Amino acid sequence: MSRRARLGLLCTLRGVMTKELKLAFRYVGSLVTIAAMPFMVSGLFLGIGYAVAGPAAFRNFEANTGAGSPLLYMTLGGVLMIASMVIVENTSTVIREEQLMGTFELHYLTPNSAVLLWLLHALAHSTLMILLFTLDVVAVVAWQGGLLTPYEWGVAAAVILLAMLPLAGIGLVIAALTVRFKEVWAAANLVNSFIAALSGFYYPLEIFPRVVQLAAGALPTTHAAEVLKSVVARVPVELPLWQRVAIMACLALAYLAVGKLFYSRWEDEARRRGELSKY
Amino acid sequence: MSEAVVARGLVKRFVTREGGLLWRGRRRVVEALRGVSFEVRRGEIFGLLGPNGAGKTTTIKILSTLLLPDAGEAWVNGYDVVREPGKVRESIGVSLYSDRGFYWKLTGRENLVYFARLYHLDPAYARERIRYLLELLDLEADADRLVEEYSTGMKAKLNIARALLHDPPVLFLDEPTIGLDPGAARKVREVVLHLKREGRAILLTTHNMFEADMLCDRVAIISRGRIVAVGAPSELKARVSGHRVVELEVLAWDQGLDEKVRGVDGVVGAALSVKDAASGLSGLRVIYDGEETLARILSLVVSSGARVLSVRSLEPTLEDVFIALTGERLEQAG
Amino acid sequence: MRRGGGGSSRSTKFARGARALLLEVEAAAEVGVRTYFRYVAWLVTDIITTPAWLVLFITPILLFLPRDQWGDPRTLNFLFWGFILWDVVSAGLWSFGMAIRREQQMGTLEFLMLTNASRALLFSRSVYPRLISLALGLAYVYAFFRAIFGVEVLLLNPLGAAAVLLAGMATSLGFGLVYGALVFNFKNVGPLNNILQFVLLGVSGVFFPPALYPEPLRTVALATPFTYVADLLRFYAMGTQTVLDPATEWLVLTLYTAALLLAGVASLTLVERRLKKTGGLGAY
Repeated sequence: MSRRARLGLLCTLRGVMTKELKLAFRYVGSLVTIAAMPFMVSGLFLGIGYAVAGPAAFRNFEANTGAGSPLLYMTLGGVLMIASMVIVENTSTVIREEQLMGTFELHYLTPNSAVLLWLLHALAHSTLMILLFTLDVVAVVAWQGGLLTPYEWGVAAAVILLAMLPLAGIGLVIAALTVRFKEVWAAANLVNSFIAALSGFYYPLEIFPRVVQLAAGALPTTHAAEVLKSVVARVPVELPLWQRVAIMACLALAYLAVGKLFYSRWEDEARRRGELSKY
Repeated sequence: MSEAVVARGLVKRFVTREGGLLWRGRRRVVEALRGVSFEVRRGEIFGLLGPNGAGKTTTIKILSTLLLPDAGEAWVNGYDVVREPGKVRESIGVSLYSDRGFYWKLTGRENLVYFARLYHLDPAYARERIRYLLELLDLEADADRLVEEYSTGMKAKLNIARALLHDPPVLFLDEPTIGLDPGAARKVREVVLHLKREGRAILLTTHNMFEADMLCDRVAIISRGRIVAVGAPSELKARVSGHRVVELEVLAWDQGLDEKVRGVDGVVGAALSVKDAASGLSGLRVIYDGEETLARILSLVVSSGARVLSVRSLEPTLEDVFIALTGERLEQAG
Repeated sequence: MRRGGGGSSRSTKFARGARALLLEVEAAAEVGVRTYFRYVAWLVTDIITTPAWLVLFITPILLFLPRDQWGDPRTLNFLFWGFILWDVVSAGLWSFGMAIRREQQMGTLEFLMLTNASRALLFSRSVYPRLISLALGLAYVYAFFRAIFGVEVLLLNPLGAAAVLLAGMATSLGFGLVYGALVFNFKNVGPLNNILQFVLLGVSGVFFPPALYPEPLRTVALATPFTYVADLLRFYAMGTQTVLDPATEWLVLTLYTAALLLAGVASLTLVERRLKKTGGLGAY
């Protein structure tokens, strides 16, 4: 005779988090790459930048961005960029990948909303990204002789979470729209490229025309990048923290609602056609 | 000598790792083949019958040059599989069990054209050959659809078509009907019989005893890397034909029930297969002699706490031969 | 010793020698190109995402320059040709280097090994679509580059540049065959690919001349084949100074490429034998 847990949702959360974190740590190579990638990209930019500009490179960088440390500035951007790519790709490919594995339909046999399940997966990945952020940024800050304060870390972690979860909404839209065409990875790549270019991970958006800045403002990652730069890299930014967070919260709700809408419509159609397990 | 395929003392071991948290764990050696020997004659269908993990696919892969044996020798169409692999590959067609193995963004026909070229077939000959094979396997209508749209049955037929591209005298068919619906499976069997009538030597692996019984001229029963018996299906069944066979449907939680039944006087062999672990629903197949033996068997089953739901008397099959020789069932062992 | 005797397939007409090789090349080219054009979504995505990746790649570098130099044609051209070369270098890792692994994942590796086709030709299949994608890539990267940055792309010697790019693709192929055979052990080689890609890009002077590197790094750069591809490409496109004289660099590049291709063929033979010993051909 089985006994049901009192708080089913907590059970589900625990199950998903445990599974995803175990899988992540069993693919050690991927974990190392994700952790190292911000440094590799930053290293490339710094190297090329120094080569083209010579000894005045870092002085010019500070004049253009307000950031005293190009390494910290770029590492912050790199961590956010990698995190957003991971969330978008993982969520948008969830239907296809789980169908290929044969596990997609099995989730529907459990007493959970599928949308909730995939969002919990995104939560697990976001948690992992926060861990990697901590590792990477603390390393750079420490190397420069400083320390991340608990407040700074807390704000950064909260902002990363608030930026990543809505990306899961985008991921669900992609998943629902592209599963038929089997080229969901191409769509994820497309979305990732524009998020990466428009979010100002590696540069201040003020250098772009106003219309581009407005478009970028619709992305939660844009605001996350601004907050992190101001809190961690001490770069002066336009809006105060609480306004950014408020905007991000609104965007989060909007993106998640849209994601749920598209996904639920696909789900209804798939159930009707018997395509939950089709791949 | 008319053997198309000769295997002598084939041995194959695999090294695996088990356990371990982050690293790869303890080294374990799995003996997939422990000295397998047999011959396949031209114009015959020779079956390798055994459960999953018995060594059937490993045998096929060694004979088709995809795997190197650790010991033993084999010849296909007169060529040594280790020393003359190129000649062997020209002589064989292989259909491996898989629903992958094709390029999804190519049509069925394009996949065949590709492999025809890799087999160095003359283009005009290849075209004609592909047309013939698509017709033989009822794939003409779907030949120009992308493989990603094919059903399992269609992929299985395409697999066989690929194996026949270069008209090889020897065929290795690894579980050719597994996962197919009855219609598709029937078609594949018809094709196999047709190929035999053309004079080819066919080595067919299966764990479906009915298929082995129906198609094969001779069958080798393989279990845990060893061949335990070889002969025509009728010869093998004759080993148990003097006995009686009964299948009991029971509700039993005692996993060792078959071993207990084997201890009953008059029982030749017994094997238990669990159909539903939660309820304990199981099938107990017993081969026995003597009028009173059945009563003793039933008495033992009941006294062990099991509940007998039904008793059926059956004609002996190749599965009973397997049970008598190995004490296991075909779908359970390995 | 022959047991049981007998000839090969009865009425089959097999092509032999050069004709057989030609059939293999034809098969590989046709399948490679057909498959490439049938993944339409990737083709379209490649074009659409190009401006985004260009902006993401070039803008951070410009931040190291004073604002009034952001439109400097020479600097931007370095970055343009570096962007093109990135594609050539990464082909060695992702395209050719993953060829064997991809066949394994698709389940087609064993069936390819059942034929007597040249293994090197089989796993070089993607060189044909890569050549097409390189040509297409040049066209649309050029178009977006001009539109976004408003500078003309320097191409002083088109034939020379084309020759270097073709040679670079051959170098990439050789590297990829060796790499693919070497890393075959690791089922999840993506992480290694990512790291190696950045190392190669950095060490090979893809974005700026190795003459600017500090000494130990310059020696490492000169030991890397892609350095010569990058150097010669800049020489023909932009008229920059090469580290060694162009004829010597061509000689070094040719020798390197030939060695890599031969090593690639040898590695494939060794890998095939090892996989047949361990039973790993069908595993994925």
